[in-house]
Amino acid sequence: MLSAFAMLNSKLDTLAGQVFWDYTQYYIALNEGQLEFAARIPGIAQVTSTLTCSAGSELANLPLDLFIPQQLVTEEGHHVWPVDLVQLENEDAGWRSITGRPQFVTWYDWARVRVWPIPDTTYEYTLKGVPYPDEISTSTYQCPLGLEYQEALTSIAASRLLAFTRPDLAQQERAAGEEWLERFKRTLRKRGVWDTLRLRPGTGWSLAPGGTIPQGRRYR
Amino acid sequence: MALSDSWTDADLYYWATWEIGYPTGTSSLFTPAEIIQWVNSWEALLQEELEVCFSRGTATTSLSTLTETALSTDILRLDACYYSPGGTDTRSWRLAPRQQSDLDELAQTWSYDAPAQHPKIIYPIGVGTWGLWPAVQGTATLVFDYVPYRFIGTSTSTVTPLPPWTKASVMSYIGYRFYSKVGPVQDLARAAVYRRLFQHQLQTYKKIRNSYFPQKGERVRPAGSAQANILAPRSRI
Repeated sequence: MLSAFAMLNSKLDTLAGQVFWDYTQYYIALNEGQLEFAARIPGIAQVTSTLTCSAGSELANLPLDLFIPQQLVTEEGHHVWPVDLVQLENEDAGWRSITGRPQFVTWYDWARVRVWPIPDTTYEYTLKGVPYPDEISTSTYQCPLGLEYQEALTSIAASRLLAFTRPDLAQQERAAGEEWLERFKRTLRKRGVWDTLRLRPGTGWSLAPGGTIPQGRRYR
Repeated sequence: MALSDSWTDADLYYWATWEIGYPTGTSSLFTPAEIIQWVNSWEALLQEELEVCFSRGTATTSLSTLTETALSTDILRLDACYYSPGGTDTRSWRLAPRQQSDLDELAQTWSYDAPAQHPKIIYPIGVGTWGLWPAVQGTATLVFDYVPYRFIGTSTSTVTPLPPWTKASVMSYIGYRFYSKVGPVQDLARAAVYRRLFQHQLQTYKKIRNSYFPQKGERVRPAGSAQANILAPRSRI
């Protein structure tokens, strides 16, 4: 398999070198495409990190190397369920004054979560989640997810670079990229790693402990 | 630089000028102040659309009327507000958001009620001005969450608080603003392509935001779902 860089170079037909684009533009377009794909096809990998809940602080910083946090597990292996703020308000309007071992987690913003009860001492929980893709910064990098993914990625990147000079070709490359992406998604479904748990209240996963297990969508 | 790394102010400026063909950062076709303003607008636009970044502030007040500028100078939207009596009493409650008309129905003489140690309600008076009911007796500590603006500064090492997955869109947004500008660089067709690209990126970010990140904060806004749910709990944990 060609490297991602070489495949993109071939699609742009600039085999002679940096004629129309600086190679930096290649890497930016490829990495931008990777982030778009990471949003559209989550759950392709899972890594483990540590979430430190500091004593007296309801906010805990998420490890920044995780793109999408999925599961929070205590030191004893208990899963911490995601809830929303309203549920905490319903439980106890003075919830911010209650301390103990955190058993619930709710979102604060993209980089932080609230844990409740507010930690009475420091706890270190395990956080599992989807990592960011590897950055493409060398001309020899091959996408570990395979040919379909790399074809889709390089087509989307080519579309980005051709948008201003050859909009017709850019459209063609975008369509090709979308088709490859659909094929890659189908492969993922066949492998059974398509859908993913997420640390967000209101999903089938978070409703399950309450006894509600809605039927999941087969495809999306 | 890993994809999980956020860009600094210097990176934002560099990639913005790089996209429009001036990687040295200077040209007679634009001023640095313009680029900085566009980057600021980009950050505000993303925050307004996505609300992925929150800040928290604390204020000690003896007043029954709050102005947002006194709480903080970078508030785009005030979110939850918690009240603590202060002193040795470290307990904390969330102030319920209501309109003045709600207070009229609740207690017709509410504006004459004596100050109390535990205000229960926060209500809007005007843009950026809030009232507490009952008024605060003595002083109180307020903890408030808000969606912040940010203005890129001269400190080049300051890291943007926006998620790293949004960083690439600064280039398309700057391209759109630059080529829309009246003058010799104007190229409306090119600006339209940049705008379309930016809109596409925004759709992607919204998808990430809506699928995997928190629901937008329960607003300090009456008659929202938060208020209804607090009044009529739908479930307990």
